[in-house]
Amino acid sequence: VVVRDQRFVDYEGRPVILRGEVWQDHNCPLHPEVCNNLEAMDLTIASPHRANFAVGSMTREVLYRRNVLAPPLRRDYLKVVVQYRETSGGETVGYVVSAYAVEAIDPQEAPKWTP
Amino acid sequence: MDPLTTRDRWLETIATLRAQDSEKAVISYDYDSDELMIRFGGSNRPGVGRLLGDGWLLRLDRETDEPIGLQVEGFLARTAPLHPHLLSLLDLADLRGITVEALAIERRRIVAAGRDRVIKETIEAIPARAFAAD
Repeated sequence: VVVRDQRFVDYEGRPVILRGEVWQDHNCPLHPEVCNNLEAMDLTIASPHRANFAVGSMTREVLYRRNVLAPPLRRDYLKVVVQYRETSGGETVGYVVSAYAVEAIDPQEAPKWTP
Repeated sequence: MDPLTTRDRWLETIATLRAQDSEKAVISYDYDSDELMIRFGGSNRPGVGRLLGDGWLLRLDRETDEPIGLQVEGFLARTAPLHPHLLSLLDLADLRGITVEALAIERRRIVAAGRDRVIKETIEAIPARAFAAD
């Protein structure tokens, strides 16, 4: 279980932070399929197969990538939910709020980016 | 096509969910992600979410296709305003990222936004037998 904060860089070059407490207290207990798989998180945040806006939000993005989870979830998507905020210095920083496995991309989310 | 969510299997899926022991279900709510989770049997098993629509996901054991939980994305922002009675789940939930006091304020805001619905449901709840006795 990750205790320290982790820093990633997303597909647009923005910093993304995964707080250790989010991982330890929320993600690992509720979504153990992604626990101990920071490489999958890094890959999905840096080069997702799809980036969508979360339903009803322009500042929360959902990043999807396939083939990064261990079997038997190999064909499923890792879905990483990132909340972006602008700092007082004008920099946009993302914070991972959740991550889990899903079978498909949610068609109700508005697409933002595809490779 | 998803075997569990096709029309033919829908009733079976609902029946399976209803058969779960509610006493053993563990409910969690995380404010930052606005995610509500019901884990049947308190299961901590790895799973995958199958889309049910409107932010609802059925969590399945990938190897057995057995339902192990329900997940609701955007619970306060999206689901509760449409289904205010589901706010009761929060009274049963382990809370993360929000206090009981702050949650009470959120609940009042959501219920107030559905004022018309609450009044209508109240009228519909009037016992019919009071009139039948006339």
